[in-house]
Amino acid sequence: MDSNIIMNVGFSLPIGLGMAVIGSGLGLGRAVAGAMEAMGRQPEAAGQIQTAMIIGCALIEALTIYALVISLLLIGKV
Amino acid sequence: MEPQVNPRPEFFLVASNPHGEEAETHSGAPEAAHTTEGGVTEGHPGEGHEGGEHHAACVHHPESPEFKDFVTLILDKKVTDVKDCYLSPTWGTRLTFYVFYGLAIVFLILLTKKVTRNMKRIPDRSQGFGELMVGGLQGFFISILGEKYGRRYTPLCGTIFLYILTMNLMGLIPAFKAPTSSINTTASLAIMVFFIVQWHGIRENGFGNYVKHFVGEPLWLAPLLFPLHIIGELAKPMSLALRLFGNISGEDILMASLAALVGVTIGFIKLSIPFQALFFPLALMFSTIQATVFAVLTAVYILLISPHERHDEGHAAEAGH
Repeated sequence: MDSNIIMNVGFSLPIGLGMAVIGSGLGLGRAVAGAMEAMGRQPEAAGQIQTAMIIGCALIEALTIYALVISLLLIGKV
Repeated sequence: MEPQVNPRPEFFLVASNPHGEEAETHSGAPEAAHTTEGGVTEGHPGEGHEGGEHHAACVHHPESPEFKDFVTLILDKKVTDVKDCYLSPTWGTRLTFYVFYGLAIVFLILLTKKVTRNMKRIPDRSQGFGELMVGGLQGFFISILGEKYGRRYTPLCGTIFLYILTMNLMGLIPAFKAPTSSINTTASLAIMVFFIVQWHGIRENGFGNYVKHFVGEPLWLAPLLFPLHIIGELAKPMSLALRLFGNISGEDILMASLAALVGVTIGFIKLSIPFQALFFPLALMFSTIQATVFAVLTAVYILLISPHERHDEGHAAEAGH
């Protein structure tokens, strides 16, 4: 590949991945915080809340995984 | 101090090409120190090659390090034909793909046969285990989908869950590779779920109502909302496939990258701790979670496209999504 493209991709790919991770971290923090608070208010519903929290976290994490997949595809081309 | 190349290539890793260059032919000696074009050597394909130029074209060199499974270990000694290689970046040969995919199916079929053999009214141990799983899964999906659709779609969602769980956990066994770490498996499952959800929508709503669901509420916004809803429907299987594929193949590459660090010498310190053992519980957790999420999302998509008049049985699903 052209060395210019390689340099651009090599520079921007980790930055893009880092930004995706920031968004995911903030989102997951809010989701888990909401779940913790709800569990504190009603401990007998803790099992259901935990299941819903795990599912919500997997959905939020999926967005970071999309960025990771793009990085995996370009990992050898840099 | 820079990490020097690994003088003893590891037998359990596929030789990788971190810079995507053409690989040279490897000699057969496992003790020889080889370097790729400038990175740490990730390892050699094991004991013996037939050698020759046509064999070098056939050896699989992924960009990121990955473990060898027993099929690749066997094939390294026997493959000489070029046209049997390279189905996809993460999978060496077509045969590897078929073997693990089939192993998961055969395992589940044998498990089912054992559980349902000589079913008695008071269950013994293996039948009890089967009843526990099926009862638990049915209760779970009925709580999401409601009584009628829950009973109808428990076989689908439960099978998806157990199948994906088996395939994911196969990736943690030493000489095996998870079939879900290839986009082929996850995409085919996601496409199947897509067609089932759309068929369910057409069957339950009638074709007119099904199209109206895409058009949306204010009729003058229809030209805007119609493509938006269609893209939303198409994005669902894509997200299902990519989520499962990214998680499992990422965990696979993580383990292999950490395992490739064994033997790297930094100055006078030689790393010999298998770091990938530290991530084993994480891999177990994420494999199970991803299987659950795929099955639950199938149920939720079926719920979303069903007719919207349930007020008493579906409210538990609001907590689910």
